[in-house]
Parts: sequence; C-alpha cells; structure tokens
Amino acid sequence: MSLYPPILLVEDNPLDVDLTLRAFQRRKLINPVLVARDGEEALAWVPRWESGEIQPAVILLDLNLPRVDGLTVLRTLKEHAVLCRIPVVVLTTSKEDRDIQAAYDLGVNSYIVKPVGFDNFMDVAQHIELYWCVLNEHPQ
Amino acid sequence: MPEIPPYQQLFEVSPYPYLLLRADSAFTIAAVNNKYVEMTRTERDAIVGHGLFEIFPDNPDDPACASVRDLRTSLNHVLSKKRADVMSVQKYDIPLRDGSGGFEVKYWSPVNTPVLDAEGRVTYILHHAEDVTEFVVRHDNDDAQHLNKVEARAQRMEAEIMQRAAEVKKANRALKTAMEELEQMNQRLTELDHLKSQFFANISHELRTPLTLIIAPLESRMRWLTGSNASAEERHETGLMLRNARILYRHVTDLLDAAKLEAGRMPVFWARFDLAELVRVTASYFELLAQERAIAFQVISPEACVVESDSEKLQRILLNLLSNAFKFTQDKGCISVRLVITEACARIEVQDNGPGIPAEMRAHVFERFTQVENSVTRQHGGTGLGLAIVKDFADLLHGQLELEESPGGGALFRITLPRAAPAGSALRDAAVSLDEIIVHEVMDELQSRAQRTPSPLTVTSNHLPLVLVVEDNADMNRFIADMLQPHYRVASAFDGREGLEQALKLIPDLILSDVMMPVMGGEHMVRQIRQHAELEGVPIIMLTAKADDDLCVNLLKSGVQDYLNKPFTVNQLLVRVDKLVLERQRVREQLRQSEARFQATFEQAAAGISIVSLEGNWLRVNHKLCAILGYSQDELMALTFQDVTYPDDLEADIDNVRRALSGEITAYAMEKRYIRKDGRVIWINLNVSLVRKPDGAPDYFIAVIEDIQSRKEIEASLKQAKRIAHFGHWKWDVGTGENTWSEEIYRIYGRAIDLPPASYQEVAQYFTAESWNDLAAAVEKCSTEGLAYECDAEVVRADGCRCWITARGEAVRDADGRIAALQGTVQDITERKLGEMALQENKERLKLFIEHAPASLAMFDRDMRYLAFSQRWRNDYNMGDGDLLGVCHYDVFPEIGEEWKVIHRRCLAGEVIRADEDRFVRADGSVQWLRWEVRPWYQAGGAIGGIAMFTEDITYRKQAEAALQQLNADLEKRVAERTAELNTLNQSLESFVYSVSHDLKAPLRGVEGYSRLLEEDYSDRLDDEGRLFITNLRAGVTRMNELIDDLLAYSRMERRKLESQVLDLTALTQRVIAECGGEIAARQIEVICDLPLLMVNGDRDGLALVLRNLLENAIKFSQHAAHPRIEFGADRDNQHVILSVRDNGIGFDMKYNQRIFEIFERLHRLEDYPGTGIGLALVKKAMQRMGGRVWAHSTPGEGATFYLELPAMAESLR
Repeated sequence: MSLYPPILLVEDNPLDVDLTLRAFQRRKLINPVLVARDGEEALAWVPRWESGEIQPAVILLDLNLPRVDGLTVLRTLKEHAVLCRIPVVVLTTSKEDRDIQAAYDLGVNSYIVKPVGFDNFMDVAQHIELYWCVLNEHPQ
Repeated sequence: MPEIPPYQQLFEVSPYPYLLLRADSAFTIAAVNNKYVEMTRTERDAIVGHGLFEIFPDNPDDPACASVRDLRTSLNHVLSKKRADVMSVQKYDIPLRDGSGGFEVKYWSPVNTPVLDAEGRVTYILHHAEDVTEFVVRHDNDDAQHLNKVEARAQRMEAEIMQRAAEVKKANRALKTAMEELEQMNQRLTELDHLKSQFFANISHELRTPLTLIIAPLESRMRWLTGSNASAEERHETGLMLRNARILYRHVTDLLDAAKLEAGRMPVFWARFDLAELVRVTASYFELLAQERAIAFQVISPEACVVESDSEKLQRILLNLLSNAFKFTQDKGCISVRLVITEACARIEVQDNGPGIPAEMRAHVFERFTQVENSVTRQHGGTGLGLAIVKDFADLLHGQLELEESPGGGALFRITLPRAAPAGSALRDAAVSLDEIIVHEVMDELQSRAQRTPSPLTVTSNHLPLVLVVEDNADMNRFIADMLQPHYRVASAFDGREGLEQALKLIPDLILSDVMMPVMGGEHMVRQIRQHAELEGVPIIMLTAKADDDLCVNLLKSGVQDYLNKPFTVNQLLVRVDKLVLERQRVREQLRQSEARFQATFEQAAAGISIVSLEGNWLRVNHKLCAILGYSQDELMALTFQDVTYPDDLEADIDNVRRALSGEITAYAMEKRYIRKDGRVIWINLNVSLVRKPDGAPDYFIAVIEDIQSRKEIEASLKQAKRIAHFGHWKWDVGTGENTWSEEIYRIYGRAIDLPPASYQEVAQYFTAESWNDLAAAVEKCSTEGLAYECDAEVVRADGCRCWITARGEAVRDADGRIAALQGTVQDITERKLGEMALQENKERLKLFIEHAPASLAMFDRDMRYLAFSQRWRNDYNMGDGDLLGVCHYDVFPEIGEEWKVIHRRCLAGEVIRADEDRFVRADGSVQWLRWEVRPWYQAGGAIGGIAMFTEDITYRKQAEAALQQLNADLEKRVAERTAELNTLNQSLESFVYSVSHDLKAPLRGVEGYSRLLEEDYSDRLDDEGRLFITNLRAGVTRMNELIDDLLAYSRMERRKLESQVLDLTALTQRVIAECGGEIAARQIEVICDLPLLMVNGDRDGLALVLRNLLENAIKFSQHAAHPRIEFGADRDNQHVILSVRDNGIGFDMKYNQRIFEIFERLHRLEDYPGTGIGLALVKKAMQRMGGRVWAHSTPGEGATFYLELPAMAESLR
C-alpha cells in the first residue's frame, strides 16, 4: 500500500487505459493508479471510501461509459456530502459545448480534452499528476 | 294606417348601388341612387334620361373589353325571360370625369332584376351592381386570369412602343427640318446684326451734330444769365435744358462708341503724354462735388508719368470710374484715386467705401447693353454703358481691368496699362483731349443726384388729393411735380423702395411711377403695393419709355390702372391723373354710402337680422331681432342662438348648421320656436346662409328671423273658418233654371265667352263619363238634400285638352228653408293633380323597386312598424304571405333580442350602425352570415321618421373563407409535421457527430499512441523501410485527426446556437492575427491591418473561426511568395461592413470560384498545400449562419482576396 493517494482512472476503452497507464509510467508517476472500467465500477468505490479507505487525489473520468455514464458518476459524487470534495477531472475526447457545460454545472473541477497525439497525451498526464497530486492541496 | 313610406329615401340611402332602367331599346336610365352616383363618379343629371350604353361606353383602348356586350346580353335576357339574371363578375371601364379621357377599371358583380307590372310585362329593370374591384384585384394576383391580362397588356405595350417609334421617327424628321431652318435664320440674323450696328453708328452720328448746335448756344446763354440779374426761374429752366441736352449728347456718344466697338472700328490714337497730369486734371473735376458732399477725396500720384497711350480714352475710363465711385458713395464717405508706376506699367486704382459690388455681380457689371428688365439688379442710373465702356477701352489700350472688394468694404477698380505703345504703332504728336460736353454731363448728373430732395408736402392745401411721384430722374420728378402742383398735393420718391415706403406712409390718392428705376423697379413696386390691403384701390399710372405692347399688357395685368408713354404732354398727364383721382373719390364715396345703406338696412329692417358665429354666438343683431326676442342688444350678444331656441327645435337647427358647415347645403330655412326673455315661446321663420371666407373656409352665418307668431295664430283660426274659395263661381237658380258663370269657368271648360252658360245637361259633355257620374250624383244630392259637396273631376275640353278641377257646391235656401238655388266654385287643380299623379307614379315605382330589390331591406316607422319591405326580406325571414304593413317588427319576431332593440333605438336617435359580418343561428339551426346596416330616415321637416334596415346574406363568402382557413390550417399542420421530421433528422445527425467525436478519436489515439511507442522503443530494431512505414502511419493519423476536428467544427457550426452580438471586428481581427503571430513571424510574412473601427453584428466564436481560417489560408497559400504579404481592408455601405483579406500567394483560377467553398474541395495536392478541404466550407457556412456572405476574387499567380460581408451596426456608420 502506497503512502501516496491513488489516482482513480475511469475509462472503458482498454487501449486508452493502457496508453494512460503508459503515459503516467513514462512520466515517472509515483501515485498508484486505480482503474474503473465503467461507471458502475467507479461508483462501487463510494462505500469503500465512506468506510475509511483512502480517497483518491483525483478522479480522471471519461464521459462515454457503459452502464452508468460519466455525468451520472459525476453527479453522484458531487451530490455526496463528503466525497464531493474529491477533485474530479473529466478526461474525454468530446469537445462538445453541452458536455462541457453539463460537467461544470455538476461541479466538475476541471475538463480536459484527450489529445490524440501521444506526446501531447503524455504532457497532459504529467500536468495532471503535477497539478492534482503535488501542487493541489486537499481538504483534510 | 301606417304613413306612406318615403320610398325615395330608402332608394337613396341604400348602401348598394342601384340603377333603374326602362325596358326600352336604349335601356334609358330612369332613376339612380346616391351610392351608384358616388361609385361610378357620375352626376345624376348627366345620366338620368340617357341610354345606359351612351353613358357607359366601352373603353376603346381595351380590345378585350366586352363588358357592354355582356351587359346588353344580360339585359335582353331579363327582358325575354322576365327573370333576374346574375352576371359573372364584370370589368367595366368608367370614364374618368376629370377631362383626361382616361378610364378607371372597375369590377362589378351585377344582378339585373325585372320589375313587372300587373299584366306581367317588364316595365323596368333594376340593375344592381356591387363594386368588387378590390376583391377581384386581390384574387387576380394568383389567378391564371392574371397571366392572360399581363399578356394582353404586354401586347398593348408592344403596339404602343411601335406607335411611339413611328412618332419618334416623325419627330426626328421635323427636327432636322427645323435645324436647317434655324441655320438659315441664324445666318440672316448675323447679317441683320451687322446692319443694325451700322445703322446705330449712322444715327448716333447724325444726332450728335444738331445736339452740339443746341448745347453751344445754351452754354453761352447760361454764362450770360449767370452774369445778369435774370430771374432764378429763368436760370433754372435754362439750366434744365442744358443739363438734359448734355445727357442726350452723352447717351448718343455712348451709343456711338458702343456701335464702333461692336463693329471693331474704334480708332486708337496713340500719343505720348503725362498720365499723372491727366489723372490730376480729371480728378480735379470732382473736387467741388467732394467738398459739397463732405467726401474725403484723395489723389495719390507721382510727379510725372509719361506713357504712350490714348489720352482721350484713358480720361473717359477715369471719368467713368470716378463718376461710378461718387454715385455709390454716401455723403461723408471716402474715395481715392491712385496712380502707381513701374518700369513697364502704369496702374490706376479707384477705390470707394460704398456698398461694394457683390462677388456674383462682378462679372456682369462690365457687360455691354445689359438691359436688365428686373431693375432690382440695375443698381446705377445712366444708360448702363459706363462700366462697359471702361472695360472695352481698357481692352483697346491693352490694359487689364480688375474689380475687387476694397479694404474699406467698397469697390476697388484697378487698371494696369503698358507704358509703351504696341510696337509698330504710329505715335501722334499731340494727345487728344476728351470732349468737354461729356465731362460736363458727368458732373451735371452727379450734381443733380446730390441735389435731389423730395419736394416738400404743402400742408395748407390739405384738402387736395395727394399724388405720389416715383421717378429716379430728379429733373423729371421735379417737372411732373411742378405740373401737378396747382391741383394736387405732391410727394416725391426716387426709386421703387422709397415709393413703396412713401405710399404706405401717406396712402396717396394716386401713384405715378417710372418703370426703370434703381434699387426697386416700377413693376416690382406695383406688385408689392398690390399686396398691401391698405393701398387697395389706389390707382397707379406707369410712365414708360418703351412703347412695348407686352410690357403694357403686363403692367395692366399686375394692377396698374393706366400708363403713359414717354414723351408725354402736360395735358395727357393731367387728364389721366384727373380722371383716375376723380374715379377713386367716386368709388370711395359709393363705398361709404353703400356701407351706410347696409347699416340702415340692417338696423331698420322689418325682419330680425343677425350675424352668428360658427359656434352660435350672436355677433351682430339688429333692433328688430331684439324686439322679437325682448332682449337688449348687449344682453343678446352675450347669448348663443342655442340659448334662446325652444329645446324641441334645437336638434333640427343644429343638424342644419352641421350640414351647412359640411358643405352639403349653403343655406337653409325652417320654422322654429324661440323663447323670449319674458319666457313666452314664439314661432319664427328662420333663413340662414353660411358666408365663407375667400379660401372657402366657413366664416359666419347670416340669419334672417321673421316673427310669424301672428301668422301661425291666423293659420290656426283659418283652419276652422275654411270657406269656399272663389275661383270660378257659378249659381243656378232652381226655380227659374237661370244659370250664371264667372269668366273663369268659361276658361276652365274652354267654352267661348260669348255663349250663354252651359245648361246642366250640356255641362256633362265637359267631363269624362266617370267623373261626370260622381259629380252628377253629388249635385243631385245637393239639389235634393241640400248637402254641400266637394269632388275632383276630369274635364275634357272641346279641343281635346284635359284638365282636373275641384268642384265645390252648396245649396242656397230661401226664407222657408227650401232649396232655391245651388252655387259653387270650380277650381283648376290640373297642376296639383298631375303632380300628385306623378308622385303617385314615383311612389309606385319605388315601391316596386323595394319589393323587387335583390337585397333584403325593410323600412320601419318610429314604433318599428313595417312601412315597406322587399320580397327578398319576406323570403329571407320566412315571413309568409301575410300583410305585414303596419305590423310591429317585434310582434313578427318576438324572439328578437335586447341587443337588436338597442341598435334600433340608437338608429332612431340618429346613428347609422352597420356590421360587415355578423353570425346568426337560424331557427332550423343553420348558421347564416349577414352583412347589415341600419340607419334612420328623415321626414321632410328633418325629424327622424323611422329606420331602414338592409341585410345581405354573405354566408357563401364566409364559407369560402372558412375553406381557405381550413386549407391554411392543413398547410400549417403539414409544415409542423415536416419540421418535426427535420428535427428528428437533425437529432440523429447530432448523435452521429457526437459518436464520431468519441468513437473515431479513441481508436485513432490508440494508433497514434502505439505507433509512437513503437517508434520510441523499437526504432533501433527496425530497418529504414520499417521506420518510413511508422512515419507514414503517424502522418496518416495526424491528417485523420485534423479531418475529424474540422468536420466536427463544420458540423458544430451547423448545429450550434449562434449568439448574435455587437462586435468590434477590428479588435477581433487583430486578436486572430496575434494568435497566429508565431507562424507569421516564422514565415516572415508582412501583415497589414490598418482598419477603422468596425462594429458588426455576429457570433464572436463563429467570426473568430472564420477569420482564423482565412488568415491560415492566406498564410498557407502565400508561403512560397518572395515577400509574403497579407493585407486586411475594410469597406462599408449603409447596411454592411465588408472585410477583405488579400494575399500575394499562388491565387486560383476564377473558374473554381464557387468550388473552393464546397466541402472537401481542394485545388492542390496534399503534399504541396496540406489541408482538409473543409476550412473554406466552414467559412461559408459560418457566414451564412451569421447573415453575411463570403466571396473571393483571384488571378492565378497574383494572390487572392477573400471578402466577408456582415450586417453593420449603426456605430460604424457614423
């Protein structure tokens, strides 16, 4: 068990999961990365966090998810009395206004469009880690 | 029994047009109602009694016009079938009554209804035509008929064009002939002009000789007189002669010079002389005058200045310039003459501080012979040649003449002369000096102006008529004044403006005026005088030197009473002045008398007379009216006529006033009642006329009021004491059989006066059998029972003439009560009887009309009892066959609601109420739509007699409307359905795009990511070809990614909601340029963006996208230019802002002008110029969505310019 809080990656596309993990690896990410493969899996973490398990430093959330979609996951978390404080970053391909607006309306902390270029993607991964896991202060 | 209905009224007030035609071959118009007259713009008198087709002929311009044939067919149909004929909608062309001969197209929906007599013969045809022009014109628009009409019109227009062309050709020929004639005439005119100049020169020369011979002796006489102790009078007259002889001499000289100049034959005598001396000498002539008028006169000149020129002409120039300066300079003004010399030139300047010459006049003052009719512009006296001569002479001497404003505000004339004569000209020994007479005349003229003063008005002779003399020539003015002085008081004025001022101040009895005068000419003055009411009637005599008929006619037209041609004799003058002054006095006297008479008439009239304001205030009342009403004048004038009118009579009077004010009537008479001051109600007869102002607006009423109270009383008593009137009188003695007749009876029966009275048996032959039966029975009864009788009978005279009489008779009884004799009267009542019969016929006719009218109409009395109704009314309301006349409407229809009763009551009170469509549910449940109108009808006295109701069933029209509405509703429904379909489609498109954004990109990222990893981690294990594959793979991914991005942007542009806002286009452009700054710097592109403030309406993001695409496009295609350059420009009109982006890149062929804006259209290979082929399509789409436009212009190799047009905001238009 790492001392560093994990990052929860919610992503259904296995290629994307693999590439994200590789990107983090290449940038020497020290925080462990947990993966949820759909919305249901992501929400399954909620009772565990409620029962005292360490909360992630940030949740990276895709929007287009099987079973329970990303916006529903986001809403559930942001309506939660305690867990609403976990930063949620939407990491998705969609640049649609309606998606961006909906996410912010639900209280998302950041919205990042997944770049296609792998170099750019790695930059994004590094920025996310640096920002959310190092620079950002979390409520105690 | 209900009163006989006034059918005429009903016919007239009908809101539908009716024409009653006789059933004769011409379809003579028997009657026509107001609506018809109004709608066809005809006049009743002009059409009644004429054949229908004589009044409404076909429009001859329209070969397609078959209206007359259609109408005739229909009318004949009615005649033969004795049934109503409904015509299809007809086009009639109504001749315009404005005298233009044009036609106005009207569409009518006509119905022809036969009016049958008792035997079933068609006696009349009722033509009912409704104007449906608007309806038809509206429907025509989307009608196939319309096409036909347009075609017909085009044909007509073509024919017209052919005709016009022919006319133009003809006009051209005429023009050519005229041109030739003009040329000939011009040639002839040139010849004539030449002859004229020659003639002028001759005449002037001939005149000068005798004039010199007059002047010389006069001068010597004048010198002699000055020395002697001759009377002042004699000196004055000699001086006058001399002065005027000199004026004549100068004018002749001027004319002669002008003629010479014009003919180019003015000789120049070149000589060497001292110009300084000449200037000093010439100026010295004016010194005395300057002193007298306290003018500061300055002469600045060098000691000497030798020039080679023509001294006579130079002196003339100087004299004229100085004379001109003195004319225009006020007393105590200042004038200077300055001579300045240089090596080659001498310059003379004459300067004054007078009013100066306005810039726009400067070019004209030197024009020769400017005989300007409008003398307001003729600022100076004399012949008007003075300055023209200056100019001409200056030219002759090769000098230069300039005119400008002097520093002091006056005029500055500058003449610059060469000091040497032109090479080769012969110099004379001695300089020629100027003609002395001219010098004298110039001085005389200025002198006389200085001395001219209005002759003083002689106060003592105040009773004499006053004549105002307006004449600019002081001598002439004085001369006329002297002539008039013994008989008149005389006032003088020296120009038109002064004349006008004096006339207004003095109000003279007559004005004598010259025509040509400075400042304001005679004609202008007359026009001004005639605009002042206070000078009305002041006679004016014009003095004119020109015996020009046109001028005289103009003068007389403009309000001049008479004119005198100069020269005139003293007698001519006096006779005309006397005549006009006397006439003026006579007219004034008449006016005074007539005013006095009117006053007397007004005050002493036997009837009450008053002037009443439009509001009813008594403005003036006479004694009699006061007596009638028992008020004093002051009391009455504080009241209005409404105050003293008996309340029951007020409404009728006010209604009359209203009709008079509206122009319906000009005067009215009525009997009404007043309430006297003592409260007594009296009957008066009122006659009122409306007086209008000259502009036609009502001004006041004149009311004549006659007290008819006693007449009314007598009338009442007469009624009881009605007796046998004595017209023709007869008496028949029963016992003796003796018969006596008054002469009148002979005349009535047409019996010879020398015959004895006809016996009782004989009398029978004078009557129609029917009449005699009645009459004989009455007489029989009278003779046996003593019953008086009165009956009408028809008389047939021996000559066949018929007439009607009223025969009245009574028995005369003797002392014992036996019938001793019969006596009676015979009164000829033919006229009344015929009138009655005509009236009856008229009533019958109108009754027929109403019964047969194709509309539902009915007439009621004040108690809503039926007076008349049409058959159609009976049918429409299912009233059965019973006799309804006299039955109350509410008894016939008990179900009539209160709302209708209210309407009836309001109309009975005078309102006209109508509804264009009103829904009724009939007893059987069917719905009926009615158009109706209810209006009051008036009795002869003006009181409301009841109401008339008109209804028309418009159900069929409403049904058509409803059908149309249904159609519209269906259409709307279909549109809604289609919109829904489109929405669904749109939504599916959106979800498609959405999935593209996600589902296409994710695998792409995979390809990209792994190829990258492959490249990084395994590149050393691949050969060159393997590495090339990876590179190509990654390039393909990049391109795919761009393509998806652009596609998404394109579809987003199509779908996203635009926010139109006011944008600063300039700032936005600069921001976009800044965003591309890196690339611009890297490629060393010169970007010029010098735009004014441009405010446009658009979507910020959309517009930024457009600009970015255009800029990137320009960067991309100019990358190979030697010095890449991108220039932004702007242009704007009232509604738009146009932004242009110009590059100097490779450009494109204009044949691709449209294609470049299509999606996926590319003109270049990818490796040359990369791109997705979406950029410009995106630009086009965005511009379309923002209500703008984009277009491009290019020449291959010379770059391309893209233009964006956007709706401008007001701010950018300032």
